[in-house]
Amino acid sequence: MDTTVQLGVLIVGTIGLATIFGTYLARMITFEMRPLEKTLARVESGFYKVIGINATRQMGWKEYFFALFLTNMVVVVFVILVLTFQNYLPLSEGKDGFSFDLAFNTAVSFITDTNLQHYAGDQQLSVTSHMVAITFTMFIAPASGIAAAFAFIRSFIRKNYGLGNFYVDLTRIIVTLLLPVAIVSALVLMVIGVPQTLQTSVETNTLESIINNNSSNSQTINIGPVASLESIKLLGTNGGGFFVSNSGHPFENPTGISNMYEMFLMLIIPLSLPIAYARLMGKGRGLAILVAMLIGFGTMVAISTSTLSGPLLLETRFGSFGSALFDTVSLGSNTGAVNSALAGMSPEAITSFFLGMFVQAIPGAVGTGMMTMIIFVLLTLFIVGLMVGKTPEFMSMKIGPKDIKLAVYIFLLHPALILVPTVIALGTGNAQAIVGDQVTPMGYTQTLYEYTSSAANNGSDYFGPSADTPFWNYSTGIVMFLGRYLPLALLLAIAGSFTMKDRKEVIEPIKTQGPLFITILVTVTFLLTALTFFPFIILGPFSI
Amino acid sequence: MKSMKNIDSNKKRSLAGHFLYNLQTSLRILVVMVVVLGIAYPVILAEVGQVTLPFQSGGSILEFNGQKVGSKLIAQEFESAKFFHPRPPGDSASGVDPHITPENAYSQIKNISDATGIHQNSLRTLLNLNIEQNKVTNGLFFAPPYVNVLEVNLELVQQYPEVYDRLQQVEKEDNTAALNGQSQQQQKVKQRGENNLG
Amino acid sequence: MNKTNNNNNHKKNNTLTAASNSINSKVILDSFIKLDPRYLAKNNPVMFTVELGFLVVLFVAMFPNISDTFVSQNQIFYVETAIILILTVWFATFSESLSEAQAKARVDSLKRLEKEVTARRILHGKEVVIKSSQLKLGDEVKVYAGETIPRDGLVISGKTFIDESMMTGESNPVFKEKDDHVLGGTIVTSDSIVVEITAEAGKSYLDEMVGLIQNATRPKTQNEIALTILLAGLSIIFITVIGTLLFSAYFLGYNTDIATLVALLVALMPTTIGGLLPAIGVAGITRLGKDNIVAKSGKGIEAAGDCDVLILDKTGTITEGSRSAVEFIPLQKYTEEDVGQVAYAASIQDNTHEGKSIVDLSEERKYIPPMLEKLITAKSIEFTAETRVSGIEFIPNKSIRLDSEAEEELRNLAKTVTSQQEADASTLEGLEETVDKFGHGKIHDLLLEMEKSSQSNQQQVRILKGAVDVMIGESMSNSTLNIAEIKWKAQEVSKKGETPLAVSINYEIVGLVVLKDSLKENIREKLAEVHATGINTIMITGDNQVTAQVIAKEANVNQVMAEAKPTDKLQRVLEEQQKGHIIGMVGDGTNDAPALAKADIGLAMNSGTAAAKEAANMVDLDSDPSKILKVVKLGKQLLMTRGAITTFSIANDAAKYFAILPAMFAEDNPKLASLNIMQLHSPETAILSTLIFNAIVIPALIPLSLRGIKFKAQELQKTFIRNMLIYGLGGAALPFVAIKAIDMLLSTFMR
Repeated sequence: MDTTVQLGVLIVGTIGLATIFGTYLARMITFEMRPLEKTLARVESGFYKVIGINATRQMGWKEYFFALFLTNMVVVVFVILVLTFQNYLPLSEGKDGFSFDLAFNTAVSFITDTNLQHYAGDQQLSVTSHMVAITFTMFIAPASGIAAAFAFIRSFIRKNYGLGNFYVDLTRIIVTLLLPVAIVSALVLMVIGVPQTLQTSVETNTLESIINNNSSNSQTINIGPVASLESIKLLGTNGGGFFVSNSGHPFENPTGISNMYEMFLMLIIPLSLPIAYARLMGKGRGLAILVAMLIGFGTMVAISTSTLSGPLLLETRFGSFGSALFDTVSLGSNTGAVNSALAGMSPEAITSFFLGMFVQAIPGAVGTGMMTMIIFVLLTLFIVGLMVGKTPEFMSMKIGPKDIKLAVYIFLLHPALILVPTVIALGTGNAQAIVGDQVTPMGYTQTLYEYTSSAANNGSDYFGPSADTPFWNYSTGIVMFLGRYLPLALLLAIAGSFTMKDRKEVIEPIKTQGPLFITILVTVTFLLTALTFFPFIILGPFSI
Repeated sequence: MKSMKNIDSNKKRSLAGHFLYNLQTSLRILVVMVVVLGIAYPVILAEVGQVTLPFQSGGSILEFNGQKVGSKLIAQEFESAKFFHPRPPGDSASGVDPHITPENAYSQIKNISDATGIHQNSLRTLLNLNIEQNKVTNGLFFAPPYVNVLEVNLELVQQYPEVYDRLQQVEKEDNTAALNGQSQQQQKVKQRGENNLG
Repeated sequence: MNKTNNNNNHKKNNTLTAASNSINSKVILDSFIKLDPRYLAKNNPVMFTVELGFLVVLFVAMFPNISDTFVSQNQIFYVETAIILILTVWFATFSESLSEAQAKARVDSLKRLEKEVTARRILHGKEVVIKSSQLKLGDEVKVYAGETIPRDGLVISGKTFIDESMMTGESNPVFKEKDDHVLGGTIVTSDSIVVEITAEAGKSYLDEMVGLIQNATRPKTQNEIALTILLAGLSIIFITVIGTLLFSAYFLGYNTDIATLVALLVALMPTTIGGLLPAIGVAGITRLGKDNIVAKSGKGIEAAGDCDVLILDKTGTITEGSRSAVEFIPLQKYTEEDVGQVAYAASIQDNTHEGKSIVDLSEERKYIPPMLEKLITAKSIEFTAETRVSGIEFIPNKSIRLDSEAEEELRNLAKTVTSQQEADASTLEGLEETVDKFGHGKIHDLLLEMEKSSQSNQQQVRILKGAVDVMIGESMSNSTLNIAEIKWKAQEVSKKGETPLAVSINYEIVGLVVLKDSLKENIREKLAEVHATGINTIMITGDNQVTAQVIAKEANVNQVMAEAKPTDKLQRVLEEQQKGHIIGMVGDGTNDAPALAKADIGLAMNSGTAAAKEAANMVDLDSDPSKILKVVKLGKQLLMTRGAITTFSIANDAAKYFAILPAMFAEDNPKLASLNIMQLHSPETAILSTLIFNAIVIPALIPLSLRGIKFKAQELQKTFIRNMLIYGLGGAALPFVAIKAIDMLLSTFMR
């Protein structure tokens, strides 16, 4: 009963919200009138003026990517500086500066929307760091991803004209999408019980100490600006928790209601983009992508809840189902914020999490999830599309060798970024240093998971602060970096290729909509993923 | 602004100029957005929270006898056999959640009854009330039934002040004094409990 | 249709058996040469990787003691594995060699024709024997029965049957007369002809064709390049997977056997499509060649698959292109016979197909005018672009003398109207009378009267036929002309999709001759097939809107472009392309050349002008415009074959994991034994049977890739579902069954 209601509310609620947000996003993409357009436009142009953005300037794919990359790198440098020197900044409360390797890892982790954390947030970060390094970056990273998706979608609409202006998109996405929703969500979470204060801790007595009049027996409760971080952490599919236990911590996720609300937040933008796509490119096409995502996601839920997880290392207030569902949403949307310890989850659940990170598109992170699904559409069309005896077309545009080349690179990159570093970590003994000299299937799973999570820009992991060593900080940092910017560059290059193509009202040889196409898309996506990663699932979680 | 315009007017910008233009914009974005998102956003929310939701914003800290007794959401150690005990820290994901399953709580009833002399049925009722209360908090369907150990223990102390007067052996006069003082409080707590249930 | 196919097959089988021995040894030799790793690295990365795997396993087979960690099986297993691996590569090179040999066989047979022959050049009325290579453009040569035509040219006199089978595959000799094109290398089988040479040395059709076939075998098409990239990408992924799997297993403390890993890699890589891809491409061109179409590159064929608009000339493509008289329609004052007689007279000196058909129709209906001897010898009024009428002009009462040729002709004519004996027996005068007395009607009487009227009145008689509007103009001087009636009747004819011609005698319009262009055989069915695959057809014609619409409806064409000028064709091609369509069109005239060049698939007729052939990307040697439909079908088939085998190849992989993974690790990790869902006998048999399956799939699919997968004219969606079920679902299921079967077979030997 509970499980059905939870699942039902989640699906109906997110799709309902996504329909509203999708329409809004569609208008943002094509600069159409939104509700309160006048006010919003005035705020936006205020930002353009202050920042100095020439809003009418159009960018080709190269410039768009360059602007995205440079903006992100400026943030990386800033975050590294803040973290390294946080002890010199206000409200440091005696917290030490990060080592360079940890600062590098953390900066890359947050700007790439990964949020892998090799540190304990509530213990190692000052309030200032939490606000200006972490919370701030949690807006920039998803906004960059969504901006790229905007440009990507525009490439199917416009011909021989720019993909938009990155700075304009970034500003608009932050100011008129992420920030308002984050503020409302932070308030909602506060009502439910998530703290929001500039204090770092509260000293209290314990019940026993009060009764015994023994004031020495007191406790320190770590606290801080949690709600403001929590809302954008989930809305932007970032996933980096304020506390080590992330969304398992009662301050981040106090009740079953907050658990459900946070799942909404994670899914809302990833599911809104296909709907925006449907508004702009045809209902059927967008719906096909949405349904394919939901089938993939449904498969993940089915696998992860097929066996009971816990009860050890799970939160009592969520139980096996509430934990598995939340984590599946989090892994599917590549957020990475889990409300349980991964070690407490069943091998089936872990397999399901791997599936989410391997596919990266069910529904995937904000922006990149939808783009990745479209890459799967391209590959599917090309593999099976020739069978009708015509050159495969997407949106009535021929899929040429260049597009296939770029799509194959994206597809090739993922296993390479996961598997090669895993072997290196094992070969250099760095994995054994954490998982023990005798590598068990569990130890192997943990190592594989670390890089899978990094490459997929997910961020959940088994290791946490125990991986705060130069090797792990640098290696996962590099994997996260490549796993983010290479696919983004390739995706935008595909967008660039499509803007140059002729598009006319010609019937597509294979309609990219309808039950038949969805079935084949899901099958090909699953098959390609399985063929690549099957042996590792077998050696890892399957053998636990 | 001025320099940017100059760069912009020069249509065939050099690569270096191109880089500089974008770097400048990126830096401006950094400054503006750090102020808006990194400072204004959390600070204003914290201020709003302090005014409108002081209890939650401050970490849901409960008070007992005018003293902070811990957060409603965070587990604390109980050594005495007279109290319900949370899970050992390593057993849950966060290690700090004050929640246990009803089964776990029921299984502790006998020991507590033995240590306090409180009737098992009373303890069971107390647990059930807490379970029901939590169910409401979780919108009936969104969480499995559980017991908040801190809340239940607080309830115990408030309902049975004579039992929880002193956890260790103490002088008698202190005991009576405390009993007098607490009987008044007990009524208050009862009222609160009813309110919560309502 | 069926009959021709049978004939062709029969003939091809003969050639195949005759040449098979030499071809086979050549193919095998070539397939071994192609095993050269340098060749494979450049042309077939998938097979190159398999060959590297072979070398690794071979090395291990020779030195089984080099490693304890990565070599754990016995030596025989490595030898077996190595053999299967190299066989896999060889199957691939063999398929490529075989398809190339087929293409080459055609080139060779053509080249044999090209050998030097002697030619009899006519110089100042005398025959001079020279070598064919010395012939120049415009030279006239005489070719007798049994001799080879030295180079392409135009018949300027004589009639003959020519054997063109070596060029076109058409086994029946083809009749050629004045103004027909003949091909160099073909053989005159009867009589003799004089040919004017129209091609320069080395530029004859044969030369071009050889060049085209040779060139056509290589440059890769866009789809082929994209597919190669995809396959290379998949291969790299699997190499990454296997490489990291090796170490992963090692760190987990499992025994990892290098040969087993190579086996898994080879099994996973898209070897089937990788091995057959070159063969499929070459086979497409060869198959086109068998239909007597020469493609200048593979690109055109592939574009044909994408074609979604066909622009078809009405004449020659949809209709036979020669209009024949089918009916006489008299004006009110006259009878059908009157019209027939006038039409007969007007056409008696007209040698065009139309003219002949009018005479034939009149003879058939016995509408013979009198005074045939005068009509035969009358002055012919030729059709000119200016006058746009044709007919005869004569003086009825002027006596004439018939030469022997005319007498012969008259006798023949008489035979058709009278009984044979009568015509043979009677004297010339008698003959005339016989013919004259067979006629009836107003015109008959009028003409006989004219002949009998006074000698001094040498009145001219003009009998004409022509387009209705022109004829009305010609006859304006005639006051009794009922223009309304003529126009009405002409319109009625047009409505039926037929063409009216008016005939007149001395500017008196007698009636109309109805000309009809008959539809090509099976054109309705052929076009229905084309439409089923989602292609739109547009008919282009100079006919008026009404006529064009009728024919379009009859032939099942989607759209019509009536009253079109030659330049409109190009305009339409560009317009359709602007809308994003891929255009196929057929042409033969010089004025078609720009449109042919612009169209995505331009099929020129061999009988067409050099400019048209130059501009088109394909040439049909049979000069059959409806072949464009065949080209489209073939293009689709080519793409479908590639797609089907790719899908099949990838779908195969699932089963291979289930066969090999448990075989690899079950010993160290008992949990994996549950993956052995096929219950294979032992790790060894599991690996060998997977590899054997992987290898034999290639030769098993060679016939399919050479022939192309079955093409069914139906909706794309249906084709898609059908192929998805066969090659997708079938491709996933087949290896489970086949590997299990091979495993059972192997296990009986291994025990």
